[in-house]
Amino acid sequence: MGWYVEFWEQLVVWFDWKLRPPSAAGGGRSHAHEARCARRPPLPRGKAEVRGDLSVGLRSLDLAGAELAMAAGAGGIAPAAPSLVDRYFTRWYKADVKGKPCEDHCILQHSNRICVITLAESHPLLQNGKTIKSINYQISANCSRLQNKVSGKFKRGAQFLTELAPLCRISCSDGEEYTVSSCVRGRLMEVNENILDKPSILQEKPSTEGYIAVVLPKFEESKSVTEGLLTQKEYEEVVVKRINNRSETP
Amino acid sequence: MFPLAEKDKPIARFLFSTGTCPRCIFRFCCVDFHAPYKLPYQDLIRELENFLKTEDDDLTLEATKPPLKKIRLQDGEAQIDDCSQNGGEMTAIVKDENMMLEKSYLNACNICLGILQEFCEKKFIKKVCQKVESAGYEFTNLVFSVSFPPQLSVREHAAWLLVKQEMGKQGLSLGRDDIVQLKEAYKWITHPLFSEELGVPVDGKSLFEVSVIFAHPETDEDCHFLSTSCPDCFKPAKNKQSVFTRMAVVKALDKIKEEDFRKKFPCPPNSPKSFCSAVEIECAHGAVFVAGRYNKYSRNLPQTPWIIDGERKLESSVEELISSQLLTVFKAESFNFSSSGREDVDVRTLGNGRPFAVELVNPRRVQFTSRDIKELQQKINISSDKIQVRDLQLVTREAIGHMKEGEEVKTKTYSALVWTDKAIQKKDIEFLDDLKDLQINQKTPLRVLHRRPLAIRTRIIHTMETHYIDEHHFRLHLKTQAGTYIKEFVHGDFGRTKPNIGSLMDGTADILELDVESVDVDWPPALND
Repeated sequence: MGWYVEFWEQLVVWFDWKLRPPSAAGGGRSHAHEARCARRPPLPRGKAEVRGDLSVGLRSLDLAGAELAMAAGAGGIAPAAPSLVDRYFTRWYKADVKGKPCEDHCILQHSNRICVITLAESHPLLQNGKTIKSINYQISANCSRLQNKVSGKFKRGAQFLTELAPLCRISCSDGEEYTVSSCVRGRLMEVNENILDKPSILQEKPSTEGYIAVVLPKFEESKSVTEGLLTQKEYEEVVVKRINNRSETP
Repeated sequence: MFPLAEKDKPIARFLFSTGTCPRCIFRFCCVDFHAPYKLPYQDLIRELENFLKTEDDDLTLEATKPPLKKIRLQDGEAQIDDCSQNGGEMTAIVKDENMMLEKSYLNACNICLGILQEFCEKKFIKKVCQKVESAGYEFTNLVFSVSFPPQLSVREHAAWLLVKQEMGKQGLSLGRDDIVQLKEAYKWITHPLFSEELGVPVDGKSLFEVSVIFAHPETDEDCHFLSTSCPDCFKPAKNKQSVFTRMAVVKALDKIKEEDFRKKFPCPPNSPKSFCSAVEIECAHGAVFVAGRYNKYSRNLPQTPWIIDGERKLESSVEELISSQLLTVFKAESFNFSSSGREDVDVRTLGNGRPFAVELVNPRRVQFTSRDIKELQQKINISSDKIQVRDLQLVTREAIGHMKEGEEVKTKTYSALVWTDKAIQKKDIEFLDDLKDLQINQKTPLRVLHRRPLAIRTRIIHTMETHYIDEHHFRLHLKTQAGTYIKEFVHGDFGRTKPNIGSLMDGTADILELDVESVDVDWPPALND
């Protein structure tokens, strides 16, 4: 798939995204849609239960319309098996990170306290028509997240991150630049180098393969690191309110 | 056959006059054969008196103060018994002997503090044996271990310096190791008594240990001067009650200069008022090991107790289901469970099962026939339908190594139920059957990253075999190198295992169920039926 990413990166330099043919414009996204829309049929042995809040949440977004509705297209139908993320992680959100409207982050916290930093669905980068030009883990002249090295069971040598610490800067073909922040205090385990070669996975699978970084909070802070963050429900309310405000005040 | 020779006389006389017991005198005269030590104490006293008899004998006897009446009566009886056994002659001197005897028995030896006196008597051994019998252990031999108070080493040192000096006067030398160790002499005397009393041999290699701890609070301060002379030998440690451990004292005695020691500690050591006491008499049996293979048929059963923040997640575990039965039957104090690898709480282990071993700590019951073990296996199998056990057997500690070796080098086979996001047909998955020895790179899975180092590990998927179920499901049989994380190979762990089933199929895959079909470790040996 690498070839067309490169191809489009070349192409978008010349074309405004609106001019792209519909099929191509969706090219990067079609996969993501399929992944999110694909129904997970009930398991042969009725193994798993769906988390109630998930389907309700998705349905309420469905009503809210807009971009997210597509992701939730299947939400209202048969109970589905929970995904990898739903099985092992709790979703936490931070809206308008660093005061920048809509730059929402999603933190997946594993039951073992490990946090995976991802972009929330509502992040501008994941909206239709955005093309990522480059991802840069060099956050200042003398600090690159790519230099992070951890060793041993106790992960010596990790860079320490505060809530506001930048992880990377992502620039788009439209000239916009977005900074992804850690949102949780902890030590940096790794950043996702796969998205450097193939930025499109960030948009195709933002909450799995397109993650930004893995952060290990301090053991004693494993509960408190998520205190200032929004729950999934709160986040959905924020998004709904945001959409309503937009339609009221055009 | 009194063991002392004429040349020993000055030393023996000198020690005896300072309040040293006959057996300690033998030790310092380097008597290194057992028989003399085993003689009854009364005989030893008598023979020693005879040996040391000189012209001023009468003076010594006169010096002996008459003992308390009560004690005299008791000891007198014992003495009469003994004499009648020995032919009952010399009744006339019984009284005198009593006086001598009581003199020695009323006074604890200034070197051994009574260890080679009343603690060598049958009466004490019987007391220990009663304790052994009531503890309810099964044993076919025993090892007897003793712990002496550290000040004994100080007193021993003082006596050695003294004897060395005396011998020096005769132009003789005496090395520290020429003396018969207190522990050695004590063993020579007590081991036959234990054998006789318990009817089993004393064997240094026995798993059954009877241990006695002696203390002598009156002289505990004997050691204290050493801490100012050799402060670096006495560093406080968390797990020690006192810095004056036997090891530390021996080390300090090794370092201290002779003149410094003599300045600070009386040579000869003064006579104590009281005897040692046996503060602890305990029995313990070395661990025994049981091995076998287990099947796990539940997806809600962890292998070991699952406790997070002190709270139990699930009420049972494989280890407890097996070990609790073993614990009862072996009447053990505790157990340690180990196995050749482990499976997740939601993974079943089918086929011939997974090798495991249980260490039973301090078991009371240890003698089992193969039939007993078979019954025990049945007992475990009846107790739960979540697990089953086979090939249960007693094994050695060393043999458990085979199990752990297997954990790292052997292959494992699994069966996984895979979900795919894309609708699939049979032909879409057939290519997996043709992949042989597929090399994959696994980053430490996120689910274990908090407790394992971050690394990229190369693993081999030897073979795969697919069975199509429906548009979104198929069953995948895999044979893999040990240490492969199967769940991550299927779902990819956020793209951190590459390639993975999802990426191979150019889509997203997830694992719904996983079973271990075999753990290819040939230990413990399979048993018939």
